[in-house]
Amino acid sequence: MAKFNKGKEDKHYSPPLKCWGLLKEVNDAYDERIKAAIDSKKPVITATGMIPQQLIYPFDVVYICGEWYGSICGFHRDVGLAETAEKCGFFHELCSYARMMLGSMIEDRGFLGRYPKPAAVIGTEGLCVGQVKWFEALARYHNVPFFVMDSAPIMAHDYKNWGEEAVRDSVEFVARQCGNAIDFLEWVTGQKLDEEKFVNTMKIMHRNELLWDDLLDLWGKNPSPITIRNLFTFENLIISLPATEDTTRVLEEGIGEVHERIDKGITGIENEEVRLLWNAQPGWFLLDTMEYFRSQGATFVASPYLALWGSKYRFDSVGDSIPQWLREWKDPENFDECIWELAKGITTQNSARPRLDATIEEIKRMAIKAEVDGGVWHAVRGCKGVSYGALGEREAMRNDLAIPGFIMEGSQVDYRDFSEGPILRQIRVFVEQVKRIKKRRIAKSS
Amino acid sequence: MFSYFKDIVDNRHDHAQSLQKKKSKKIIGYLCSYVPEEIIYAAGGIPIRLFSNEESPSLSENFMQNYYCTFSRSILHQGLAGEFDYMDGLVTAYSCVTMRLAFDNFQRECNFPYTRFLYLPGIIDTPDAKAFYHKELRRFKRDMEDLFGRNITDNDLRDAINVYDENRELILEIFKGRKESPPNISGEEAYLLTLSSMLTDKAEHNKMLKTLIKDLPKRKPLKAGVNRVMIVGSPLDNLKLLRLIEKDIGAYVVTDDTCTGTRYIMGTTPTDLMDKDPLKALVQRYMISRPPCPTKHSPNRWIECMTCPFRTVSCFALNPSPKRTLPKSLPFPAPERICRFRYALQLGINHKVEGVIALIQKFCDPHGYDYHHVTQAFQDVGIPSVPIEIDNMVSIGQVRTRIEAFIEMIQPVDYLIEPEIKAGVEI
Amino acid sequence: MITVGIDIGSMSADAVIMEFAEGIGRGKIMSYAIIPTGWDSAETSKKCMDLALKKANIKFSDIEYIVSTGYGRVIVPFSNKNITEISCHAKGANWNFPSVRTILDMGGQDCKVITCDEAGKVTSFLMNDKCAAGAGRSMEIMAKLVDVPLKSIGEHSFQIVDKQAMISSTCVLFARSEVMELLREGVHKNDILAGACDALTSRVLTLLSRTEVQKDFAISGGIAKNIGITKRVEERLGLQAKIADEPQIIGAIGAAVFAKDTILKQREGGQ
Repeated sequence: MAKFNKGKEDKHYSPPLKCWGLLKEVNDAYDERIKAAIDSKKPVITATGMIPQQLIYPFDVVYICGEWYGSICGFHRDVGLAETAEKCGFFHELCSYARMMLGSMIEDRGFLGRYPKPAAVIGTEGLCVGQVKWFEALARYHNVPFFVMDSAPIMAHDYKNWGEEAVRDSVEFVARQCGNAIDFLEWVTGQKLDEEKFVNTMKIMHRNELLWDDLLDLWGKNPSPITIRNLFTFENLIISLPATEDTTRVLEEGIGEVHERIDKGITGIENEEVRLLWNAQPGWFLLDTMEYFRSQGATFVASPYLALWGSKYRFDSVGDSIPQWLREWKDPENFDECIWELAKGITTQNSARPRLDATIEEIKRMAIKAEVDGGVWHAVRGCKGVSYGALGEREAMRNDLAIPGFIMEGSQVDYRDFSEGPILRQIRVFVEQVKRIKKRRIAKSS
Repeated sequence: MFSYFKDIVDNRHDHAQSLQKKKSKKIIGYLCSYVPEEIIYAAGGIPIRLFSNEESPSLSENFMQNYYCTFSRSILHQGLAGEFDYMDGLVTAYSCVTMRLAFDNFQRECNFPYTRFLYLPGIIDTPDAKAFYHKELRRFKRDMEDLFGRNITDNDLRDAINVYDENRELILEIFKGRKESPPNISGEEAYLLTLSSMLTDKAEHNKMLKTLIKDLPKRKPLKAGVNRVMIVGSPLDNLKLLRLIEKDIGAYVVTDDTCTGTRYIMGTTPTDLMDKDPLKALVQRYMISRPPCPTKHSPNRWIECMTCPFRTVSCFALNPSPKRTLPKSLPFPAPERICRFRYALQLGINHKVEGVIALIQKFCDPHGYDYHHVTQAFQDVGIPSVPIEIDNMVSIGQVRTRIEAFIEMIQPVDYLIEPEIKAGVEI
Repeated sequence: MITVGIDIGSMSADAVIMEFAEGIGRGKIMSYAIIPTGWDSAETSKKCMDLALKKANIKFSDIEYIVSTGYGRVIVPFSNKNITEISCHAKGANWNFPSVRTILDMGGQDCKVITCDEAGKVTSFLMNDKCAAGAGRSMEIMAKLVDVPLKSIGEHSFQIVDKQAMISSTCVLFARSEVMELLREGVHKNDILAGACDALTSRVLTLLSRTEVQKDFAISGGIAKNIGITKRVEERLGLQAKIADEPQIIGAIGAAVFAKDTILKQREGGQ
């Protein structure tokens, strides 16, 4: 893969954030804890990032997020793992995170040394059906208990057509499942839920979500003070450790630094000519290739995918189509209130993704707010859930906002599905097109 | 003998429109076999399932990326081309994200007078899920009452359920003969029965099925002594593939685990619940009684696996491990519903199947993840299998070599040097 | 006893005439003919048959049984039976080398890995016919681009001038434009061929890695004549490959052997 980050001489290069030091410490400590847990008696719970970690944190376990694990394998470009999975009958068309993790499981090796054998696996049926089957396969292999949650998404037309009854039923259903999940975890770990820790975790998680929202807002300023690569580094932390105080510290420090940058006029890339929106996961092996955008004077300033980890954006997207009580957060003080807030969070988070009307509204609002000139969609092969509706979104942006879009075919972690040469050419052509359109728009309005 | 059924399948839209005109019935299209058709039928409508065709799904290119399966993309393409314009509504239940995207696009781009997405939970055999879906179906029933401008009483529902159950039982009756050697009907004919049932008024269909049951024994028996295979996989709606396997290559498809085949007709509605609350009975039928689809899950499937009779010949052959004993106190019950692999294995063994052909749509995640379990499970009972990737424009030439080589492979040594030329199935 | 096997492939067709003394023993090849498959498979099969007959100096009526195989097997008008190329390649490889248990067949449009038992009966198979990147067609394209005759590609690919070129595109159509740019930049054609052979080898190995490759290992099909590929595959597998003198006719040989067995069975059955 070509490298475009040419170093300090490159006029688009900006200084690194100081909070990276703290972030690295936190990440390393996390890796150490997991490595230790692989050999010790502490139970490992493997779960999908789409279910709230607040359910798992109150227990004394080691939590492994499947997507995080797959993404780090891909970051190390360990495609041999995916090949092992394919050899055992998992087709190449399946999610690349899944193939990496399944390969790591079969070969019993990975970036943490050995594969962390789970005591139980938790999946969710919310984003797409492939995800839950991947976790089912993980559970079957080690013959461990497998729990599935259903996170009933709310559809905007539901509320309009059926009223509050439907919405309340959905949230209640999810709440009961959260209760079942806690029962399951208590049984598997033999521990009782620490209620105080649960309440505390909920509050920390909410705080982190608000901080994340702030970070995204700052990122969207014109000109943008940080780059999308910085955001992906933060995202790594948010996925693996979303509800810890360490993460709060890192985010607070980071946000402070970004404010400083804005005051001092430091930008993510100098001579920011074009502002783009990015959707879906990045290719974790092609973060360097994404520097190519920088070398063309284009920077990313908004992303619906990254907004998933926040709280405000998802309410923006569904607008007034969900009732007021569902949008409001109330600090929980006991177990029942925690479960209710959790259920509210799950139903609204997932509602933003697999529903075309909502994703289109969300992306349009985001594009207007961040003053975006063009959109880039990563059509991730094998991930139908996150790249859901990319074509509809692009068309809506083009027709309703006159913002051009570019669909980039690739994969999250399988570099065999990515053809660099032609895509670099397409990026160049696209950025030039966006610059032209922007010039004309500015000329017209002046 | 099968011409009535063949006619419906070959000319499905003409047939549906004739029902619309002559019988003034509203036609409601649906995408997934989990839709509780009985409610639509009780209201006076006729549910018609939408299938793919062999055109290149070019119109769907602006709406669905090319890594979504062509089954759904072809249906969207047909919709955008106006093939379903005569329909009075479109309904689907949540099973896979691809059909969901197709449905979302239908809502935005086409002008169906009525559309509805039923949120069928992915977890389908817990009391919470059943209670949730029951409420969902109550809302759907109210919608149907509004759409058709009439009340749907419990008795209306019971009548509809009875018609549907009769249809299932009649087809099952005919299918019993497929266990024989040679089977009483070919695989293609079996699919004609199930596919046509999804495309017409079941009351009519029942009459013709009864006639068929009377006439079938009079027919000349099928050619004896060819292989028996089973089809497992994504919804099969292209009869060309069956003709290839049976007529060209010469193996009978004696059973299947597809939602357009046996999964559509197995599992009748529990009669005890029907008396109390027919909606509850429907919930029970669709979530528990009917055979499982890979898109549906049980949170405690692993409990059943521990004591499954096939467990000793492991579904977990990647890492066979000794049977684990059930812990004494288990806060959860074992799932009510049978496991999909156990269902497929039992079907295969009962029908004395010699090989399994897994016809899987390219990009189909649910069947893709299940594939290696299916293979291992069948292999462990001594039945080999072969994966065949298909899409709506399946190239028969490529598929033919694979299937033919598979049939050649599962034969005893002498098969390839039999003096006579391989003959196909003669009807 | 004289039998014939005809293999109508996507790029080339071949016919093999074999003689078995009273059906006993291994038999020997009387003659064979290889011609490119035209657009009319039936015509091609006739032409091929005639050429082989001429070379063997016998008449059509001397032949007792004909089995056809390959992509166009059902269109051969004069064959008595057709059998897939998968079973025929296993049989043919077994005839050539009875110790063979894994066969890699690289044809014009597809690539297959077949495992068989000691009698040459297929025990498992894998096909990759979705993409030309692992097949003969891609080599043809490369040969044309760099203007090197197809049969010399292998030699050239080992005579690296500067260093092996990196061809990163997985799709042969994109690889084409990459190669054209490399030529423009002045990269030597040997280096480009080295890169192309390496890329094709990787594709083939992906298929091979999904099977348990057991000794002995044979390579058949047109590409088996290309040492640029075969040597690289051997190196990556760590196995010596058995390659027949004429690897392109393995399928037809297998078909002819099946023909012989059919006649013997017929005689046994008193028919």
